[in-house]
Amino acid sequence: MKNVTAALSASGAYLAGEYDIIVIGTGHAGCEAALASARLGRQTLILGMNLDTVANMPCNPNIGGTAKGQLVREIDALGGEMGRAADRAMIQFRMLNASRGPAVLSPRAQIDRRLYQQIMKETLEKTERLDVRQGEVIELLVDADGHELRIEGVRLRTEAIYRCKSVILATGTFLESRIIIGDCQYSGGPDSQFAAHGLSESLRDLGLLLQRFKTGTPARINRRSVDFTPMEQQDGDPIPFAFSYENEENPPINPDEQIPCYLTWTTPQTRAVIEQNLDRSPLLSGVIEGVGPRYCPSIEDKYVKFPDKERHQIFLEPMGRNTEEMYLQGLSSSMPEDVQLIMVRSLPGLQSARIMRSAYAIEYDCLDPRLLQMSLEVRGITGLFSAGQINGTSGYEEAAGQGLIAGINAVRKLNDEEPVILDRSQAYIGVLIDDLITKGTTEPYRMMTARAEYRLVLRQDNADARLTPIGRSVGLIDQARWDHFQIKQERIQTEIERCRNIRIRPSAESDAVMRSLGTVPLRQPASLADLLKRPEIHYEDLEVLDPDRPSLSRVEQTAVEVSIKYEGYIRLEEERIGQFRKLERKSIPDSIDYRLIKGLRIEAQQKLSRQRPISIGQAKRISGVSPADLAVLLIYLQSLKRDDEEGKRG
Amino acid sequence: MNGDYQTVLDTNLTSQDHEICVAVATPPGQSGIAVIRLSGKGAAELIDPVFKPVSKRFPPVFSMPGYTCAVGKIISPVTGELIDQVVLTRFTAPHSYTGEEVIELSCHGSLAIKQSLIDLILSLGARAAEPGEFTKRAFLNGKLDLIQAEAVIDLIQAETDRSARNAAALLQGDLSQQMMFISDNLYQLLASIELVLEYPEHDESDTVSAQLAAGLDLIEQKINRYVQGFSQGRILTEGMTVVLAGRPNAGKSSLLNALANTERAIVTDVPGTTRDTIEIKIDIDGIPVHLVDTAGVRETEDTVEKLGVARTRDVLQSADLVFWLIAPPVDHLQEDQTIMEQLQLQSLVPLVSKDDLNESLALRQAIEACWPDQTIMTCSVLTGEGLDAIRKKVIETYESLGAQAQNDVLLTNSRHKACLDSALLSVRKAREALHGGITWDIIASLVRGSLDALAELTGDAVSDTLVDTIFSRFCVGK
Repeated sequence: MKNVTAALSASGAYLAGEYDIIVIGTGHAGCEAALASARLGRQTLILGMNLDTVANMPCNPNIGGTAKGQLVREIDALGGEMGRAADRAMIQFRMLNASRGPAVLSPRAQIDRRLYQQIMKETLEKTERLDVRQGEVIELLVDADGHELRIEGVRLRTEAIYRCKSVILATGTFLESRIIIGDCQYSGGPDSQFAAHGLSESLRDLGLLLQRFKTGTPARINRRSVDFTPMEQQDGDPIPFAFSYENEENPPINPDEQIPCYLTWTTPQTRAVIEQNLDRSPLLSGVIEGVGPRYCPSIEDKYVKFPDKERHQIFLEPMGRNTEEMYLQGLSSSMPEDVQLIMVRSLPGLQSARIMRSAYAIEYDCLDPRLLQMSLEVRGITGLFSAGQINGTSGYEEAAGQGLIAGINAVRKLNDEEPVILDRSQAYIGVLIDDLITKGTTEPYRMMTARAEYRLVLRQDNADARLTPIGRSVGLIDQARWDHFQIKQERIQTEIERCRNIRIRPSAESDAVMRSLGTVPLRQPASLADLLKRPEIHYEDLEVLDPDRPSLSRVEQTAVEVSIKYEGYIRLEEERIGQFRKLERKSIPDSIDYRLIKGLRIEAQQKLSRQRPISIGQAKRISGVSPADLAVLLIYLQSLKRDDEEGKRG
Repeated sequence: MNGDYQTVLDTNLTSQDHEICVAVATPPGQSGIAVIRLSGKGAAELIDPVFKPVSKRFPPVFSMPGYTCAVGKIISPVTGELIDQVVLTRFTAPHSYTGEEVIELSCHGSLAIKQSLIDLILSLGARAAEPGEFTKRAFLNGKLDLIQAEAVIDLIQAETDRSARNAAALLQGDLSQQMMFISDNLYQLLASIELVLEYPEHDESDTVSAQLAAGLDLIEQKINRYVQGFSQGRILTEGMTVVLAGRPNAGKSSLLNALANTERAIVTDVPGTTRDTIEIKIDIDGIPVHLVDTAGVRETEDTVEKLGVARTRDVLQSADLVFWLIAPPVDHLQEDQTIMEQLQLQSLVPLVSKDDLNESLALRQAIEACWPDQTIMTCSVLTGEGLDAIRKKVIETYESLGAQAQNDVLLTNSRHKACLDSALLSVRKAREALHGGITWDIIASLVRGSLDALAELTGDAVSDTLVDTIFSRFCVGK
C-alpha cells in the first residue's frame, strides 16, 4: 500500500496530472461515470488500456431487451448517454413483449457496434472538463493516515502518477482475465485485448476480497457463407421507437433501412457433436473454476442440464451495417476450435459457415459487491467507487446504469452532498444496486424484470416521470430537456382528465365501433376512460367517437392509455409500495454496533455488521437475517430513539 | 396500525429484553404444585446462592447439565428461613422453551409460597416477566414461527377439547406447513409466467397458459377451504353464541339454567354483553358455547317496541344460533310470527318450551301451519326432554359451518383470516384477469400480491406490525 509521495519516489515515476475524479476503464460503466462526473463540473480523467475499444460490445451486438431496455430508458431519463448513442447506432428495433402488457414491454435494438464506439468516443472527447487517455492503471495510491483509507491517486504501468480525490473502478472483465478455447488457454481480455495485471493485487492489498467469475461469447461467422433459406427471418418493427426521451417523437433510425436477424435451430447432429466431445469441454472437465451465469449457459451446458430438450433456438444477428460478420446468439461455447466448427455447421443453413472469430470463455476477477455501500463507494476506502462487471454483473446496460450512479455519487461526495440512492420501487437501477449490495451474487448478475417487485410501476414508458426530476435536481438534465419533460407530463395529465370527463352515448355509430373491436356495445353512456379499461379497446380506436381530441404524440397516447387502462392494478401495486417504503424509511444509523444487540443470532449479527444496511427494509433482504432478528432489531432501534429523546429531555 | 405498533414497542421497551425474567408458569390460584420459571443468561448463577441441594452429590446449579434436576431448599438470605423445598430443573440454551438458559422451580402451590419465592428472586436481580414474554423470547430466538407462537396462546386459553386439539395442531406447525405448500404452488405458477415474460422470443405461452388456468383454480379452492374453516375456527377460540329469545315468560331463563346444570359449565353468571342479557359459558361436545338469555326483554310490556332497541337486535343478529322460545297458550303466536319475520334471522329455530303443559300439542300444530318448512323443536325443563335435541342442534350448526375435510387444521385467528382473505382476493383477481384477456404482467403482479399476503401470514415477511399485540395477548408465565 503506497501513497502518492511514495509512488513518486520510485525511479522513472513522474506526476502526470491532477484531477478530481479518475475513471479506470472505457467500457459502458466507465463512459457513463466519466461523462456524469465531467458534466457535473468535476475535472475528470478517463483511462483505458486501448482507446480503439471505447464502449466496445465484445458479446451480443444489441442493446436493450427484457429489463435491459427498461435500464436504458432509466439511464436516459437520469441524463446518461447510452440511450442517445444507441438511438444513433441502431440498425434494427423491436419492442419485445408487445402482447404481454406495458409492465414487461421492452425495447431492444441491434447495434452497429463500430458506429456505437465512434459515437461514444467522440462524445467523451468533446466533453468539457474530461480528458481521455490511454494507459493501464496497476496500482491505487491511498493515504493510510488516520483510521480510514483515502484515495490519493493512481499509478500507471509507465510510472505515470496521477493525483486525484476519487477513483471509479470500471475495469469490466479485464482483471487477471484468462481466455479459454478448449485446451487452449491464455492470459487475455475480451476481443483479443490484453488482460490487466497488477490491479487485482493492489485491490487485495487494500483488504478487498475478490471472486472469480466466468462468462463467454459465441462464434462470429461470415454472412456470405450462410444459406438463409431454411431460417426464419426476423425483421424490425415497422415503426421503431427510440431509447432516448429526446428522440421519442423522431427516432433517428429509418424504418426501411433496418437489417433483419434470422432464427435457426440446433439439430440432433449438434447434440451428437457435443456429446462426443464433452471430455474436451474445459467447463465440464473442471479447467474453468469461475462461476458462470445460469441464464446464459453455453450450448454444451444446455445439453447437459436440459437433456430432454430436443433442440435450441439460435439467432443470427448482424454486427453492423458495414460488415459481413454475424453473431450466433445461443451458441456460446468453450469447446476447442475444431469442435466449434463442426457444431456450427450442424445447424440448418450453416453447413458451409465460415467462422471469423471463435467462441471463447473468459475468467476474471471481480469484487464481492457486498463490500460496497449503496452509493457504490467501497466501504472503508474513502473516494473509491466501483461500477459495472467488476461488481459482479453482466451486460452493457447493467454496467452503464451503475457507471452513471457511481459518477453522480463520486461528484456528490466531493460536493459534500447526500448520495443518490434509488430504491426498488423507483427504478430497475435501484433493484440492481440493492440486489448486488444487499444479497451479493454468486454468478454474473443479469437484470430480469422478475427481479423487480413493482414492475407495473417501473415501466419503460414512464422512466422519465420516475427519474427525470431526479436527473434534473442532480444537474444532468438541461433546461430544454426539462421544459420538454414538463410539457409532456402536463399534456398527459390533461388528457387523462379529459378522458375521464368526456362521455360517449350509445348510438348506431358507437355500436359499430364496439362491434368492430370485438367488444359489447354500450348500454348506457360511458366515459372514454371507462371504455379504455376494456382490454379490447386502445386509445387510437376511439378517435372516430372522439373527434375533438387533442393531437397527442404516439408516446403520449401510450402513456394516457396505460395510466387509465391499468389504473386499478397500479393502485394495488402502489399500496404494496406504501408498505415497502414504511420499512425502507425505518433507517438504521451507521454508527450502530450490532454486537451490543442481544438476541440477534450470531449469523445475523455478523452479516449485519459486515453489510451495514441503511434501513430495516434492506436488512430484511439480507440472507441469513430472520424475521425474528428483525423484530429484535426493531425493538432495539426503538429503544435507541427513546434513550435519545430522554437524553434530550434530561 | 402504526399506533398499536408503537404502544406494543413501548411496553416492550420498559424491559431490557435479555435480563433474566421470572414468573409463575402455572395457572393463578392455589394448587398442589406450581412451577416458577426463570429465563435468561445467568439464571443458574442467580438462583445458586439461595438453593441448597439436599445432597452433596448435586453440583452447583450452574454446573448442572441441561435437562437434569436437583432437590433442594430455598433459603431466604436475609432471614435464613426456609421458604420451600423444591425440585429445580435446568435447561441450557438453546435447548429450552425460550431458547435461553432456563431454570424451573417446582414448588408447593400455595399463594404465599409462590409470592415469597417470586419476591426472593426479584430481590436477587431478576425482573418480573411480562404477559407472553417467555413465548416472545422463544419467537425472537427462532424457536417458534409466528403462527406457532400465536397458537401457544390459543392452547393456553383453550377451554374445550376441540379448541385444544386445534391449537395443538397449529403449534405443531400444521398450518404453517400447509401455507408453505400453497406458497410453493404459487411460486411455481409465477415462475412459468416469468419464463414467458423474460424470454419473449422462446415462446412457450400456450402450455403455460393452460397450466396457469388450472393452477389458479386449484389454489383458489385450497385457500378458500381455509377461509371457510374460519367460521368454525373462530368458534373454537371465541365461542359460539347461542341466544335464547322469545316473549316474556316463554321459559328462557329456566332453559338457560337447565342447560347450565346438565352441561359442563365453563363460566357461570357472566355479565352479559349488555345490561339486558344474561350469559353463561358451557362446553357442548367440545364446542365452547356462550348461552345468552335476552333477559331484559322479558321484563318489558311491549316486546315489539323493545326489540326495536338496537342492542337487543345486535345480540340476535350476531348470534350463531337463536332459539325462539314459544310457550303455550296459542294466543300470542301471531305476535311471535311478526317479530320473527321482522328479524329475518337465518339461524332462528322455533322451540316450543314447557312441552309438559297440555296446550302444547295445539301450539305445535299451529306453528307447523305457520312455518311448514321448519322443523319444530320442543323441550321441557321439567321432564328434561328435548334438551338433548337442543344439544344436537348446536353441534349440527357448528358442523354445518365447516366445508373442509376432517383433518384440516382450522384457522382461528383473525389476523390469519385477514391475510388469507387478501391472498384469496388476489388469486381470484388473477383468475378473472386471465379469463378476461388481461395481459400477463398484471396476472404476475396479482400472483405476487397473493404471495406477499401468505408471507405475512407465516411471518416470513416482516411488516412493521410484526411485534404487534400478538405477544401482549399472553398471560404471564408463558
